[in-house]
Amino acid sequence: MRKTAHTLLDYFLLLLLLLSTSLVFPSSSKKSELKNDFVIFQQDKKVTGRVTDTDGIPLGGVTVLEKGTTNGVVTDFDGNFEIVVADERSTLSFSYVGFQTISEEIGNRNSITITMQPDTVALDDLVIIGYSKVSREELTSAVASVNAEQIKDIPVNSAAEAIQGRLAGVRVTTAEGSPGADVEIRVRGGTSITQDNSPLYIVDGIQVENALSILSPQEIESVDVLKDAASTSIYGARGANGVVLITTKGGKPMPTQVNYSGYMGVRKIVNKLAVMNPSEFVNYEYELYNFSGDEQLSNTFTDRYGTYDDLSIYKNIPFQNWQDEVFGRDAFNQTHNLNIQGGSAETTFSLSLNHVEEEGIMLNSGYKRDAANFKFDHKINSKFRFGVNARYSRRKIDGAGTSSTGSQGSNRLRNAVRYQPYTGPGNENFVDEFDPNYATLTNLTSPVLLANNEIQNDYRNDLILNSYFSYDIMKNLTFKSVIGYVQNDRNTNSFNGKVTSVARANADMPVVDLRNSQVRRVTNSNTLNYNWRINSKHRLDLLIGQETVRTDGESERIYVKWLPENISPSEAFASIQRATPPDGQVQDPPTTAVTLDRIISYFGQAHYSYDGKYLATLSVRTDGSSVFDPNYGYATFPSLSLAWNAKKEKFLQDVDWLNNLKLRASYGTSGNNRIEPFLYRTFFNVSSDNGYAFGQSVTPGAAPPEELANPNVKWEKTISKNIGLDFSLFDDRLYGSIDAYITDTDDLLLRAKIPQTSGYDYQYQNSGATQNKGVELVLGGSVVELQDFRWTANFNIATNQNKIVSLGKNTTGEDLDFYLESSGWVNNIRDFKVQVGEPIGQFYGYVTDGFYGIDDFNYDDATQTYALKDGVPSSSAAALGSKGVNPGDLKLKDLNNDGVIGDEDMKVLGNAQPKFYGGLSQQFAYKNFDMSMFFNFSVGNKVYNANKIEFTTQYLYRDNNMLTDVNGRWRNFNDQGQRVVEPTALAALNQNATFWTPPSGQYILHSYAIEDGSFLRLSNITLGYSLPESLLDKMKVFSNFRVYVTANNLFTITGYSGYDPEASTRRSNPLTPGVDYAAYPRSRFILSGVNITF
Amino acid sequence: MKKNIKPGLLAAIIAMIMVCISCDDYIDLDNPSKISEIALYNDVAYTSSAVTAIYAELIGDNGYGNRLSSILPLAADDFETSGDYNCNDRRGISMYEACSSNPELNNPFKQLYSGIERANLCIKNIPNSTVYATGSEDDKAMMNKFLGEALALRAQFYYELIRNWGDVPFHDRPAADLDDIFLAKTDRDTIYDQIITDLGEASDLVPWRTEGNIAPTRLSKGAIKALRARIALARAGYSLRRDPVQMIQGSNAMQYYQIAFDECKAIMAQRGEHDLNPDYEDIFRSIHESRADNTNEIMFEVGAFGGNSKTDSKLGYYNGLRHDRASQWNGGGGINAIPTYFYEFGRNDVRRDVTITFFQVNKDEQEELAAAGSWTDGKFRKSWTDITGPSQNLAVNWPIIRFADVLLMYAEADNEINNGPSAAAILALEEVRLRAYGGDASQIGTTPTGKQDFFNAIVQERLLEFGGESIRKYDLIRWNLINDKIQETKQKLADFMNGTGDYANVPDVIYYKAAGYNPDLSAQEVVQSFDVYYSGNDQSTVYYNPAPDDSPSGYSSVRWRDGVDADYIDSERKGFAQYFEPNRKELLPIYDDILNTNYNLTQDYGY
Repeated sequence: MRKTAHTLLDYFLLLLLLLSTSLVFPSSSKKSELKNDFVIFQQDKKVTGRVTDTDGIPLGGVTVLEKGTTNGVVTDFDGNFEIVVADERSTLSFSYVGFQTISEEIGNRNSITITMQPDTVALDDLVIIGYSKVSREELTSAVASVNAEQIKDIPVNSAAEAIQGRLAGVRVTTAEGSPGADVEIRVRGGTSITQDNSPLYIVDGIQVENALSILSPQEIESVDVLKDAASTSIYGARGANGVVLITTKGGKPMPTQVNYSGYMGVRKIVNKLAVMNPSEFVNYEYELYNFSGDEQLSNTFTDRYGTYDDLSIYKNIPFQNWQDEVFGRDAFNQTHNLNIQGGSAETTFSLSLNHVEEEGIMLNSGYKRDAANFKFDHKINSKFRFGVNARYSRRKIDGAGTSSTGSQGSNRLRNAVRYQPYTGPGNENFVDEFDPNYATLTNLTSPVLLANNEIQNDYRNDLILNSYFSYDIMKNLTFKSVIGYVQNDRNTNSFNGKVTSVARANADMPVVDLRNSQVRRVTNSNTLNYNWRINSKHRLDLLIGQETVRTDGESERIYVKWLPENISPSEAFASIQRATPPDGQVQDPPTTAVTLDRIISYFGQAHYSYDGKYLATLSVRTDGSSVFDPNYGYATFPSLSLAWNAKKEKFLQDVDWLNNLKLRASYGTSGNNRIEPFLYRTFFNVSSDNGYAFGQSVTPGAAPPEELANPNVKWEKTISKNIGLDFSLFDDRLYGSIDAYITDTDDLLLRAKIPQTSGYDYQYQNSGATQNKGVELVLGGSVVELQDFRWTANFNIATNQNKIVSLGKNTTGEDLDFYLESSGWVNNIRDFKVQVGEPIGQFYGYVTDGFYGIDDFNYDDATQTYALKDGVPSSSAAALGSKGVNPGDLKLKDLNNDGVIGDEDMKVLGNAQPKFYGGLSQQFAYKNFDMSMFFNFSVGNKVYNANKIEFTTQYLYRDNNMLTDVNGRWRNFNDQGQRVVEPTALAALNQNATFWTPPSGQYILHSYAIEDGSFLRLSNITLGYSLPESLLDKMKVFSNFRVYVTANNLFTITGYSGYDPEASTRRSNPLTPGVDYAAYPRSRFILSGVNITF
Repeated sequence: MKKNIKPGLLAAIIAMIMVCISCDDYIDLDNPSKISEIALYNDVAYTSSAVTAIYAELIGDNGYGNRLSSILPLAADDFETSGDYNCNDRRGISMYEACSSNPELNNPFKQLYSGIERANLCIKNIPNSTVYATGSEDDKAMMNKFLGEALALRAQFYYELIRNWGDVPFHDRPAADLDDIFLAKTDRDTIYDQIITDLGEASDLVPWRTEGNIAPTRLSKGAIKALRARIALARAGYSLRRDPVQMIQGSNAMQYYQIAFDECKAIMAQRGEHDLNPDYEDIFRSIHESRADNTNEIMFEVGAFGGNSKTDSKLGYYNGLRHDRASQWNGGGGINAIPTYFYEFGRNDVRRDVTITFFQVNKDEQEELAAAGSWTDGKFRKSWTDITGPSQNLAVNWPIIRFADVLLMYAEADNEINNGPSAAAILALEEVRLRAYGGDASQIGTTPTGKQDFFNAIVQERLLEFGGESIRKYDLIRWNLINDKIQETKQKLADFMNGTGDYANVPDVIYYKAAGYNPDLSAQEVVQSFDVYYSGNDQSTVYYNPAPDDSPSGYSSVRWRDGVDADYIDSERKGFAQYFEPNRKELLPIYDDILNTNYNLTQDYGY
């Protein structure tokens, strides 16, 4: 049965393709027919003319028709036409897609110039809402849009960056500053607790994962984000987290235009963490080595750094800030775009080529992209349209970066911050030569050496093929079919040279990790659209459709250990067979896996309009997904939205200052199927990881996954309610909209921690519920509109309150109130509290209470020891590795007053959710100068600065440099290097102490690390100059020539002490946002560029 | 024109309808990368893979590859963990003050339960499979063997849990079949009774070593019987109870001594399967060489291979003889011998030099004596493997149970049952002692015949026989001797430091010259090859005679008695078993996260 279905589907796809190609040929015969007509009819009056748009640009391909006849011509590429008509009473009609049709009586003229007005409804204000488009005026749901015009001045390499802060309620954050860093897009906060909260991306009608990271801003015509369930429910099971609809640039009926834009610039690190200089460092180490009084340890210090008296030498040793070495370079960027577009009334095309070379500020990191996009649209006749779009891009992302999803040991920023801040004496070649003893002792490796030893090349090739045809079966009834094929190939080659921890665990020999994967997705949607104008007042648009999305993928991984010690990364990638396992060792076998996903859907939509005044949209979609047990595989998602165009009421028609006033309300459901497949049954994996050595080889074993199967896994369901108001005032000088919403999500799949005594750590359960509430405001307007000076501004601000409503029940039927979650930057830390009634992302830890003072202790003169006074809580177990408490140690608040700092003394320390966020863009034009500024901001979010914890905690390691905060620490040694124990002297020594002794316990979260992450960022400022038209006319080479300079991320106003408040490096788990741990530092990018149109 | 279009459109609409007809199938998929539960157990080869995956949970860093063998079972009067105290690391366990946040406690616990689940899946599904019901006789025999192995492995996992954590949640069905996975603790006696029954069943299902041509890394009938005896003795012995929190002996002890006695007797009747290896060193050489020892004395060992943290071990890299980083071997040193343990051995006991390496291999690959306190567990030596360089995984297997243990368990059970040793029990003990002295009966002394004296002799013999095999701590606990022995050892260490009592003649330092190290020599030959400064004509007396007053020229000195200072015996950072408290520290705390995910699970024992 299944096989038959596939064959039929394949056949169907083939058929459609054949059909598409067969349609191309009749079109040519049609053209010749037209010419014949022209030849046959002999006329009397010859008229010549020229057609331009409002900017005076000639329009080619405009149909010029003598009214009441079949006599017609088409303008040439210069907009010129010549037609012979019957007589002076003849009327010519000029029609062109995207422009209002014009009729002109010829009169006694022999030559006419026509200026065509753009059809605003058709172009600017059309909003794509799923499988159809409506004018903004007819829109009944919450949709945010950005068009090419708004992002054209933003010279950035990814579309995601370009739309950041421009869409109300759409939060775009980049985890860190590395080239090609993951961009997270959240529409209205995200509904799921543990599953993927990414929106669905639809590019020209087909699903493309992470489309905004793949596309360049120059390719994009418009981005429409569907925010409420009334609009997303047409995407049913995939719509719960919003839908991002992207239309790529196509051709226009106009003379062929060649457009080049390019820019070059330099990136530079914005700020660095302040670390101790050599002298401060060595003095700190001196205390560390001598505090315990262990003679052996003291001797180690002397061997390594010299005697105390020698330490003054370090005052004159050059301060080596490794952050400069690793991140200090001027990273060069060049980007080139070439776009050729044009077309006639029947045929339009667009070809874009894009080339990017970007260096990262970190050594060995960078980004390259080559992309080509060809879009072709053809109108075969009045009934048939057909189009293809082919896009291929090849990206290469270099660099292992600084952060990893692993715990502390596998993250790398540490090395650049903590490595000893000087070279020498005796250690001069640390940079080039790996010092094994230093590594064991300190958990550090020379950052420069490491950057040259950890090489990662990530190749991502994306192919998007997309074709459609539409056929007007009868008047107002259109059939449209879209077939898309998306193929994402990814090859990640990682090399771990001999100094890396990976190699150190494998006989100090390099290790290569090769991962390849391919995902292929075939999307086919077929829709029937009927626009029924019942009479002049009533209009009904009906849509029914069917869609299948079929995803297949494979991945493989080859992990090769024991490569020759001095092999270069490229040699290693090119010949992994050079690996020689030591005697008695074998390589891990390669592994492969397959991913499969199928969705089949049926949907319908009805849009009713009464005189453009009262509007209603009803839609329903049923989805079946292979992710679930077939019994739970289907779900239906209905929605309804209403709008009232108040301005069209009589009582408002005379209110001149009000141009538009529309009230919207919607209610809808949608789902989230972005969960791991096959959770519903116990499936076994055969792998050597589950294997056992019966002899001198590993026999692979078959084991269940780490999650316990749950046969009842089903959809996550979202219900959203939205009300909105759109308005426009004072001749559209000020316009805006305001939306308020409540989104309730139920049956959330929680990767519930289950008792590990079951043999599993987790089980997916549909037990959670969340609520998101928010308000979004968009304001735009033309502030100044003078002859020579224009100033327009767009402002948006949004607030979203996220709340966990339910975390399910435990088996005794009680509601689970909270659980603790680990961000995992340290093993064994439980630093997030997931709690009912509270938002996701609550930091959970101790409250910092400064440090212990002398008064907290009883001093025993005989033994020269300090003992905590009764009633003074001891943080020994919590922070000090269970060592005895001494004056100067980190003090934590004893919230439950039991005299000991323990788990019960932890509390919620803040959360990562902003109170509000948004953006302000302003564009200025003065004569030929233009300027734009774009600010984005976020207020009220807290950041968990885990770097600060790590870089001020001693834990197990000595010889690690610290942040300058530690310079203010409690001192136990006087300036002569002698230990001070006696209370009065110790108090005197520490009268100015501002910081505790770096704790010797495991890294813990305490409120010291929670900082306000509010910021205002000037993320883009551009100044441009266009050559005046008069000059261009003389040169006759360019029709437009503009040069500009831009600074991206010019400044950020924030109180945050780390590299950047937007960092969030532990978000592979949605429950742990806002952790700044080992993030790649962000850079400032200054560039200049040129836009040329030929 | 119209001709072209209509059929196309028609075809499209028809195709659309057809796609819909078959849409139920469209979303019902099988993943070729994975095997379903039903398919798995209806195939003998796949079932074999499923059983392999149970074995897999024995090994790796979190199994007997490191934590279960080298970290959790310390310390006792034989060995302790190296390094300074931290409640959150391996040393916290060895010093008997591990915090419940100590990550060493987390993964081993979880891995044992993962093994139990894998075994539960096999135990449920094998008897229900079609192969089991209708397959060929050979297939049925294989499936029976697999079932037996699953039962026995599950028993071993539970035993390991109980001896470290006491009462634990118990389930003998796959987690998916449980009504409630939030299991509270089950009394250990109940679990013991079940797994002792299971092992009885398993020993009927699994053939003897020679019948099944079974490698020592796999369970045979003999191994299962031996494990059953060991677990029966644990059941009969003392353990720390929850209520009251006290060391209390298991109920009906005699019944379990009888089980141990019967099982041991059955094994001892099959000397062709397993026998005492006349060459004590060969036993431990064999686990470095992935082979059975000469007489299959090791009845079951955990296989290690693959050079990774999941299927291989860190034995010999983490623990064992210390080889300097710069030497070709690079490894060892994570476990240190208690200096007085050396002096528990008779001077000619061959086990001493195998069990304790009181030297180290320096960067020039020379042997040099090590200070007391830095001696290591010599049954593991990276230089006994073929692997050199910084490799951490050496494919060294972990011995679970040996024939010598069967003899001593036999003697112990006999002594309990008969209220004094029978002649056979005395013989069994003497057989072990004789082997230690190369068969020289004149050296083994007189075996006591009173019940208590004989018991004491067994306590001592097991110390000498199994040192470094992570048996001692659990033996002492089941005998309720752990506190006594810790206190006794502290006293001995004090005497050792002061050179008083039994240690009056122990040298404070020993003078030696570094000399070339040859790993091909036997353990004893290596000791004899030391270039030490001694008087008289017997090199071996140097460890038993006071050092000369003047240092001989050309020799280096190593702190021998001087290696032990007051800190070593009693200090916050280094003290031997510093934080041990009777009736509390016999068990480990359950890791925080495991408690947090099960509201029915309690910590207990005052943690």
